[in-house]
Amino acid sequence: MKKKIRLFSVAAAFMGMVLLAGCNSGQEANGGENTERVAVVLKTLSSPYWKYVEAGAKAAGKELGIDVTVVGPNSESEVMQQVNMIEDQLSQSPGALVVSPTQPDTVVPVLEGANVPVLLIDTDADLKNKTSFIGTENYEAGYEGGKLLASMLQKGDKAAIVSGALGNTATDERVKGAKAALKEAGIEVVAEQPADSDKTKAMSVMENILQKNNDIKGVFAANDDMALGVLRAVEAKGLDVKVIGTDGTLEAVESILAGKLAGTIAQSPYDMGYEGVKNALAAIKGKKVEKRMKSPVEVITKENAQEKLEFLKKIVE
Amino acid sequence: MVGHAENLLEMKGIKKSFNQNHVLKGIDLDIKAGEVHVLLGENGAGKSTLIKILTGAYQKDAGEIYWEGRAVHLQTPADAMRLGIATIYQELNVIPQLKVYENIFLGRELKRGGKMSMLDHKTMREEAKRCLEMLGQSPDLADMQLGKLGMGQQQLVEIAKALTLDAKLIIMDEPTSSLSVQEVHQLYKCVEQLKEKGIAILFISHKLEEIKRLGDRITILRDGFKIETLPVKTTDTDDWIELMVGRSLDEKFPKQTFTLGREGFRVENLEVAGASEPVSFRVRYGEIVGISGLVGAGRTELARAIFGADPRRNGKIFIDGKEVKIKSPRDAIDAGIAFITEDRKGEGLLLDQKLDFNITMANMKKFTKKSRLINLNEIREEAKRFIRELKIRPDHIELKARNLSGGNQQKVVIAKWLCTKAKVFIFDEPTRGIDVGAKVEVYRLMNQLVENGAIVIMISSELPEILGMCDRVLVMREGRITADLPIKEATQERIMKAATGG
Amino acid sequence: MSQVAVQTKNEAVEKNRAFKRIISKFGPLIGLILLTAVLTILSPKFLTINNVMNIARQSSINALLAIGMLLPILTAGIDLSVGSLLALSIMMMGIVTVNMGMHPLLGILVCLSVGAAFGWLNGILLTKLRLPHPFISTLGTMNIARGIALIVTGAAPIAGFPYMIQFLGREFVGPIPVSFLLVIVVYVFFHIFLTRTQTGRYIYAIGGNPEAARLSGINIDRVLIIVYTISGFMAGLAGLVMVGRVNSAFPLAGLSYELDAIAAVIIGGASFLGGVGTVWGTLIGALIIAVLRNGLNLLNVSADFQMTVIGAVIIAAVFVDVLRQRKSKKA
Repeated sequence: MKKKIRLFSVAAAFMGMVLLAGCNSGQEANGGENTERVAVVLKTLSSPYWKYVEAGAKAAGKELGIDVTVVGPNSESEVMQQVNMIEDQLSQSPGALVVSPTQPDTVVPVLEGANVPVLLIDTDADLKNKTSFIGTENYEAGYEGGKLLASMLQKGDKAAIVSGALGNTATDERVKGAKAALKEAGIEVVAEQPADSDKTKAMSVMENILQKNNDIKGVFAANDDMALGVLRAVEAKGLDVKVIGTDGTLEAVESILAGKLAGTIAQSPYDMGYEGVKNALAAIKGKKVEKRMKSPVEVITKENAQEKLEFLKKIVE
Repeated sequence: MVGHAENLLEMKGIKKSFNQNHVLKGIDLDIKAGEVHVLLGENGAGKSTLIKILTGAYQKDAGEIYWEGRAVHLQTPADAMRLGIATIYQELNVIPQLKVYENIFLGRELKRGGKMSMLDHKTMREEAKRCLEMLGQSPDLADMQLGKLGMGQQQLVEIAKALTLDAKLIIMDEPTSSLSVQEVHQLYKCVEQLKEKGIAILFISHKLEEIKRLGDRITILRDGFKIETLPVKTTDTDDWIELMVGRSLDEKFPKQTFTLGREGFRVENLEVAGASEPVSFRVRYGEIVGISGLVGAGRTELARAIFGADPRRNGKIFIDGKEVKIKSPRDAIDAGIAFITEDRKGEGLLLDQKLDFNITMANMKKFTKKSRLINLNEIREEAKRFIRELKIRPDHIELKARNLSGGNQQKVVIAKWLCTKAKVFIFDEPTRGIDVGAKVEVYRLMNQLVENGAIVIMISSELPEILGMCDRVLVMREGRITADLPIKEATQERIMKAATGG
Repeated sequence: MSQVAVQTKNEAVEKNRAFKRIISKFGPLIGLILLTAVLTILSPKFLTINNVMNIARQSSINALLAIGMLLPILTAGIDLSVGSLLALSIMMMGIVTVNMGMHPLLGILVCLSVGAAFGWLNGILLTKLRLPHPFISTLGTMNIARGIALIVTGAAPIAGFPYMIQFLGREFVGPIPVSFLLVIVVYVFFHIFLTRTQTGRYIYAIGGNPEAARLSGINIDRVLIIVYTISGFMAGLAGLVMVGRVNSAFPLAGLSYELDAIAAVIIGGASFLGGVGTVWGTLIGALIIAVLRNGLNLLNVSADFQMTVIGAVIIAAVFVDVLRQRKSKKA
C-alpha cells in the first residue's frame, strides 16, 4: 500500500513539474503588460530555417519594445495542429498575426474570420483580408541559382534538377526559374526528379540519376537539404559535379566553406521574421503596409561564405 | 519467542486482509521435514492466500514465521526460494520452446566464468539429469523439448527444478487436477521418493482419496480460520468434510434415479480427429451418461465435434430422432445443445463482464426487441432469476465474473446454458477445481435437469464421480468408445481396463 | 460463523466495491476536471466561451476517429489505418466534387464509402485471409491508403469545396460548432450500439474471451468485419469534418492521427487486452487530449514540449488503471 502511495506521489510530482515548466515558459513570452502583442505562427520550429525566422521575429520584438509570441507545430506535416494553433492564438486577441502557412489553403477558413491584421511570410495564401505577404520571389531565387550553376559550366554541358514534393509551389517556382536560366545559358537539363525536400531521399534520387547519366556536370536542388543529399551521392561516386542549393542554411554554408557545395541562393529567413513583426506593428498602428514585399535573395559562394556563416551563427545565439 | 526446532516450518497467528476483507484470521501451521502435509478447505477458505504468504508473494499483516526454528521475514519470492521453499503451481511456469534442462535452469543459467561469459550447458544438463533420475525419470528427458511432453511430465520437470534449488519444502497446488491416471500415479511415486529424501511437501487437493493415500497430516481451513490439524491415517474423510464445510453433507453424490424414457440423443459415426474408427452412441431420457477415459482419450474432442466447435468430416447427430445439422456452435445452440466446457475461465466466462452479461450471452436473441435494441430490464430479471435458483453467491448481478469463487463461476456458466433453453447438456469435467459443497450443488442440478426432461452427458476423469452420479458409462480410448457399461456392471477395474486397453 | 456476521461482511465488501466502481467509472472524468481547473488558474483566457468552443471544435476530428478506434480495441485489436483512410477519403471526395465537379452529396457518399470499404478490407484481411493480428493488416492498409492518396493527385492538395461539404466542419449553431454536435450525436449512437444491441455486446464478448464468445454461438468473423468497417467509416466522417474546417484536402492529412485516437481510447480507460472500455470514457479521453493541447497552446508551450506532456499523460492514465486493476484482482 505504502509503495503505491509513493509511486502515486512520484507520478503526481512529475505531472506538476511538467505543468509548472509549461507555465514558466508561458510567462517568459508574455512579459510586458500594456505593450502591443504580435503572434507569429510558423510551419514548425524544429528546423534551422525556421529558427532563423523565429530569431528575426523575436529580435524585432525586442527592438520595437513589443511582445512577440512565436509558435509552431512539431513538423511541417502537422497541418491541423497549425490551424489549431492559429485558432488558439486568435482567441487570445493579439494585436496582429503573422503566419507562414504549411498548406496555404488550409489556413484560409480560420484566417478569414480573424479581426486583426494578418501578415503572411515565406509562403503566400489566397486570403482576401491579408495585410501583406513578405517572401522570397521563388522564381527569382531559382533563376539566380540557375545562373550561378551555368557560370560554373560550359555551354552544352548536361545538368540535372532535384525538385521538392509535387505540388509544393515554392520549390516548383524555383525549379522553373532555374530551368529558364540554364536554358538561356545553353545548358542541357537531362533529368528532373522530386525528392520531397528530404536529404536522404535526394541522395537515392541522385544515385538513380547518375546510373543513367554519368556525364552530368551540374545539379540544381530546390533546397539545401536536398543539395547536401545530392552531394553525398556524387562524392560516393567520386565525380566532379557542381551542386547548387537554395535557402542558405548553416549546414550548406559550412559545406561551401569546406569546398564541397558549389553555392547556394540564400533566402533571408531572419529578415522575413523581422519584417513580418515590424510591418505587423505598423498595421496595428494604422500605417499603410505594402501588399507584397520581396524578401531579398543572396548568392553565396566560397568568396562570401565566411561572412554569411558568422551572421547565421550570431542570430542563432 | 522462538519456534520449535523439530519443525521445518512453523507459522503462528498469520493474519491477512485486503481492504476490509479479512481473508486470514490467525492461522497456525507447522510442517515437519519429510512429511506430506495436506491443506484442505473450500474455495475462499484462505488456502491460496496462505501459500502466497509462504512463498513471499504477499506480506502477512500479523503473525510469525519460523524456518528451522529461526524467525524469518519473507518479503519477496526470492527470499522464500533462498530458504528452500519451492512451489509447483497448477498453471506451470515453463517455456515450451526450450529444452527440459534449459527450463530447469531458466533465469539462473550456469556460466563458465564471469557474468558475461558463455553458458555452461554441460553442467546444466548433467545436473538436470541427476535430479530427473532422483524422481525416477529417464535422464534422456533432459534434452527433450519441453512442449512435447505431457502435462504430467512437465510437472515433474518443475519438481526437478525445485530439487536443483535444494528445496526443503515443496508446495504443490492441486498438482493432479489436470493429469491422466498414469501421470497421477507417477506423481504419487515421485512424492514418496521426495519424502524418503526428507523433503517436506505441502499438498493442496480437493481429492479425498488422494489425500488418504499420500498425506501424513491434514490441516483444515474454513473462513480464514484453522479448524484442526489431524493425522490422516486415523481419521475419516467424512469428518474432514464436516470440519471443512462446517456442517455434515448428507451425501457426496446425491444420486436420484428416474424412470428411463425413450431415446433423446444419438450420435452416429462421428469421426474424432486422429481416431481409428468413428463414434456412435445414444442417450435416453431419464439417465445421466458418463464418459470416462484417460486424458487424451478424445473425450473433449468428441464433445467439441458434437458442438461444432471444431470442424468435423462426417457423422450424424439426432435429437428426438430428428437429424440436426451442426456446422458451428451457433447451430448447436439453435438445435438445443449446451456445452459446459472444462476450462471455465478460458472457454466459458467473460471475467470482466457482469453476471447478467455472462448469463444471457448465448441467447441474446431472446432479449432483442423488434427495434433491434436489447431489453436490459429483461436481461437483469432473467439473470436474477438464475442467480436465485442456482444460489449463486454473492447474489449481485453487478459483480464481475472474476470476483466469484470457482464453484460459483461454474454455476454462472451453467446458468448461461440454462438460459438458452437447451435440451442436451454436455458437461466436461464439471466439478474440477471446485469445493465439495459446490460439487454437490452441481450434481443436484444435473438431477434436476434430468427430472425436467433434459439429456445429460458428463465427461469426467474422476471415477468416483462417474460411479456415483451416472446411470451408464461410456469409456473412451484413442478416440473410440471401448466400453458401454450400465452403472451396476461398472467397476473401477473394468473402466480402467477399457480405458487403458490393458 | 453466524448468518448476521456474514451479511455485514458482505455489505462492507459491497460498499468497497461500489466505491471502486465509482473511481473506475469516473477516473478519467476526474482527471479532466482537475486539468480544467489547473488550466483555468494558469490562463485567464482558458475558460471563456470562445475558447471552450475552440476546444470542442478542435477535439471533434480526434473524437470521431477515437470512437471508431474504440471498437477494434474492445475486440483486443487495433486499427492503424484510420489516419491514412481519412486522407484517402477526402482526396477521393476532392477529385469527385472539385476536380470532376459532381454533386457534393455524391462527394460525401464517396468520402464515407471509401473509408468504410477500406475498413471492410481490414476486416476481410483479418478474418478471411487470417493475418495473425490486425496490427499487421491495418499497417498494410495504412501504407496502401496513404500511397494511393499521394498518387491520385500527384501529391497536390485540392481546395475550394462546395458549402454543403464544408457545413459539418465549419458552421455553428449559436455558439456551438456543428462538428461537436455531430460528435455528441455519434457518441450517443455508439453508446446505444455498444450497450443495447446484440452486436455491441458481442464486441465486448469477443474482446473479453474470444473462445468463450465462439462457444456461446457468436460469429466472430462477422462481428470483426463490422467492427473494422465502422472504424473505416468513422475515418471518412472525420475527414469530412476536417475538410469543412480547412476547406481543402491534402494527401498528408491525418498523418499519425491513429496514434492520437488510440491515446484517447486508452486515456479513456479502455484496456488494450480487449473487453473493457466505454464510449463516454473515450469522449473524455479525446477531450483531455484536446484540452491539454489547447491549454498548452494558450500558455505558449512549445509543440515539442506538448508531445512530452501528452506522452506522460498516457502513461499516467494507464498506470492509474493498472493500479486499480491490481487492487480489484487481489480482493
